[in-house]
Amino acid sequence: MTGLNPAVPGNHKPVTTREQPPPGEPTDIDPDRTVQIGVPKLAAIDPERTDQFEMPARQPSARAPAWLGEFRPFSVGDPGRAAGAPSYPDPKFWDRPDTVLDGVLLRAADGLPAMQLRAASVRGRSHRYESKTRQDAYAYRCDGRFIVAAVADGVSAAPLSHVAANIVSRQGCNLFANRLETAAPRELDWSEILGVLAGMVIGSGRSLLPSAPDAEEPSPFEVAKHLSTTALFAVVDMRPVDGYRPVHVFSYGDTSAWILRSGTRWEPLQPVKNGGTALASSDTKAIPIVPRQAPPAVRTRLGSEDTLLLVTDGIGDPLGDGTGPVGAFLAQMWRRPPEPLAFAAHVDFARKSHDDDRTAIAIWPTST
Amino acid sequence: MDNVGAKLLPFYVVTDVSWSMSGRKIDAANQILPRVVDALAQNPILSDKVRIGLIDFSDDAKVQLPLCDVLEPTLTIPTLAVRGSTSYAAAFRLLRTEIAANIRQLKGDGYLVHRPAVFFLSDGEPTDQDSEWRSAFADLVSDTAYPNVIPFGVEDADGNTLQALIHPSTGPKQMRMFLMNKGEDAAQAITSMAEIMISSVIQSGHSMSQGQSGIMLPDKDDLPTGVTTYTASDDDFV
Repeated sequence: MTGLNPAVPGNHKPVTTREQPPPGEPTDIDPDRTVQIGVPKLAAIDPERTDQFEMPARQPSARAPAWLGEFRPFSVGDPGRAAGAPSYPDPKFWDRPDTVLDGVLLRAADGLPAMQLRAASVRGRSHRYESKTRQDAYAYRCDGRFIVAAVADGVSAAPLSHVAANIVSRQGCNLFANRLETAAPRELDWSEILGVLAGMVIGSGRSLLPSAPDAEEPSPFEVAKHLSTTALFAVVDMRPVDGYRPVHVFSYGDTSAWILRSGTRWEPLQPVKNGGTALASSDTKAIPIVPRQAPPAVRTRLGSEDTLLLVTDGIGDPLGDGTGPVGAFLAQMWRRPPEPLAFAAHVDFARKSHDDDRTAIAIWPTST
Repeated sequence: MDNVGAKLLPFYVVTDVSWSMSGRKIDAANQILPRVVDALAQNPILSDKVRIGLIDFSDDAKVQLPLCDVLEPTLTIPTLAVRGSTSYAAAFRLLRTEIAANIRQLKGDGYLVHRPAVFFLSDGEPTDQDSEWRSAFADLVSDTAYPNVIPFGVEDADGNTLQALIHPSTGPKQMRMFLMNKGEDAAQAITSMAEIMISSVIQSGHSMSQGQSGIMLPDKDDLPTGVTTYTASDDDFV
């Protein structure tokens, strides 16, 4: 590290400004300069022995940098060896970004209060290291009365799963928004929508997968080997009932929804994955292999101090039952809407053995 | 607890150290773990999750390396020495108590433990009674936390005997065994078996982060020369 001399313009490193230099580092400090900005006990310092110097605290001055802020990646506990592994692009999908994010205020109709939304989808350290594209996706829609939000986790074992995750999250949001034009959230038919989404993934698979001219078109099971995704949708009614926004959650597979109650307690809206089982499993249900009868919708309500969170298992797994260190970290960071870029950095926290793609959508009521 | 929710994939290497393993064979067997360590050292993603244990067996069985992160800098890989006859039953009984104890402790520490895999390497027939090792094996695989068992046979190991140790033997997650072809050099075959184990560890680690649970084994076409793989229903080996 060089450039610790505070008198040299352009060498200001915000991260180091309030820190002591590491032992043996400040050999490039000019003793004359340090006199000017006031090192205590100067008389005791041998100018030939620069290792005696302590770096002075940076004084606010005309030479202070013109910017504010700093960034350090987040980690919870042991970040693991994976945190230091390089990130490689996927040469098959140059145009699919490593990270996408949004931070928006969703306006409501009829003088209702707006709601805040943050979303981020971040490639996992495993996919980064192995030159594989991100296979998670998210989408959201808002018509001023309902927010429809979706997260989808493409199953990595199927190589085109990011296509499935895109189709399901985006078209699924469109389907929900469309149905909400004529139906109340409690009347929504998840089995019907799940079936339509499965059909869309199968149709896309049949057009994408190479097949001989006279061969039969691939079966749903064949398509599922190439395109496969979980899905979770939430419908938030922006019109409060007794101060609470009604929420309906529809899920298939191991994506999960949570409510952070009053910024302190994580309430899972599905059974916690691997909660009681003797051994853990990464198996999941996934579209396009769907049952005729979809899992039941979950109804809850969002208080004015609560946060609604939708996540893929890249976050759901380390969150566990919400009472551990990751729960404490995310509760601290997400009790209020953070800066959108900070939200993505929170989603990307490092923690040993948790290297899956991660996607989160968080929604907060506002008072205005 | 800092480990809460951390994912682990345990592998147990179980090695025959009967007298017949003397010489170049035991030397080759002693290279299995160092080679696994080298492979994991090159992959920061997998080494965060994979745990390896080493058990040897002869008249009795011993835990030579308790299940651990083999990249821990303080770790010393033990050197196995030959010592007696070939009790499969002793190996299965120790394996059963060891796996149960490891899982209990790891789960107590907050880990999410995936189903363990056992690489079982032998160069000969069991010297204990048929009913004894069969019943010890049945106990091992009847536990809720039963391991996937992948037998590796060299030299005089009997294909029919090892075939009975493939577990699960049927279903979507059925395992396979790997046998040295007749006439091959046994020490070289053990080195090839190590390659297969490494390949399985790496593929299984990938699979775990791909929304799939299960132990992956190399395809028939991807095997080192001198080794053939069989399912529990194959009957074409001699």
